[in-house]
Amino acid sequence: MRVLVVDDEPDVRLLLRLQLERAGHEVTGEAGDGQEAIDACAEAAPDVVILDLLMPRMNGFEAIPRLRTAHPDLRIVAYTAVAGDFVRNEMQRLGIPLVLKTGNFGPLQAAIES
Amino acid sequence: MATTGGADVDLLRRRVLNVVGHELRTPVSTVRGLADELAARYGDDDLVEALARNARRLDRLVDDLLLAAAVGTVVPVAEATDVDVVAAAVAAWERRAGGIPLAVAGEAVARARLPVVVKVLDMVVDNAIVHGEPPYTLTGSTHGDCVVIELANGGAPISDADLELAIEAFYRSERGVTNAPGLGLGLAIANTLVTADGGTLSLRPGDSSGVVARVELPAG
Repeated sequence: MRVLVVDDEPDVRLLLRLQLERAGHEVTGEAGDGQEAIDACAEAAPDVVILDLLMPRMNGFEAIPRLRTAHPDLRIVAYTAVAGDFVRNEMQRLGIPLVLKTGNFGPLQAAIES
Repeated sequence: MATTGGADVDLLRRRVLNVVGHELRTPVSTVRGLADELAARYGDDDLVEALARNARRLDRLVDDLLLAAAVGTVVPVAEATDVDVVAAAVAAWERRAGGIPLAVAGEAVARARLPVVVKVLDMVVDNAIVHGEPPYTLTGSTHGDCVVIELANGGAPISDADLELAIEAFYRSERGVTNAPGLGLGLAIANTLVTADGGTLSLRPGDSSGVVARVELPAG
């Protein structure tokens, strides 16, 4: 899979790049907020975006409809440290798999490859 | 100035744990993941393996603290499915009881999230093994729209006061403090998880000795 990594924390992006590459995926780029993600998708056309939800400037919630409009076939996986009922319900409504940030790569890998 | 009664203190405790825990979660999980990556590359190095082992432990501890404080934002994300909870409990027993005999009876299929059920049963089994003695009996049953799984252990009876407090975070009975290490989080974690899936967790005295842990979940 060609994967774009979107998170405002550089160390989280580094970790995701290492985990994804070790699992055989290609990381097409990194972005630190929603607008950067939109720009990076236009440039590199990934298959999957791993999208942090809470970010400065443009957050994941704002980026999702714009990404979907511009790239209807793009798969989005929401990746967040914590998720209350609002986040869980909203991602379910949008049909977007939600993965909690733990150090364990397994659930994220399953969501990307499902 | 507001007074701080029991409910206020509990709310404050949860808020502090919520904020502190959430701020810890990203850096701790990142350290754990990076340590795992190091171990994958340099796994034959004792220093790297020790770092990874302790990072995993810290990652679990932060999650456990949040769950024990009833912070539901870290409850595992998964779809509810039909789960054979008797089979899941037997599997938990086999993982954690080190060959101690278990008598099993009945059937129960719940509608719940599998990772939640697995963790709840792990915690209930751990508690029975640490604080109880043989004989151990597992019973599954269905009552209308809910299923019940009960794990009974023998051993000394537990006081009503201990039974009431045992599900609270950080509670350690006098006997537990002297004969078993731990933070006293297991049943509090199980309670948060089972509640998140629409169930309940309770303890009661056994018929003749020990304790019965009872988990109720929506029927599948």
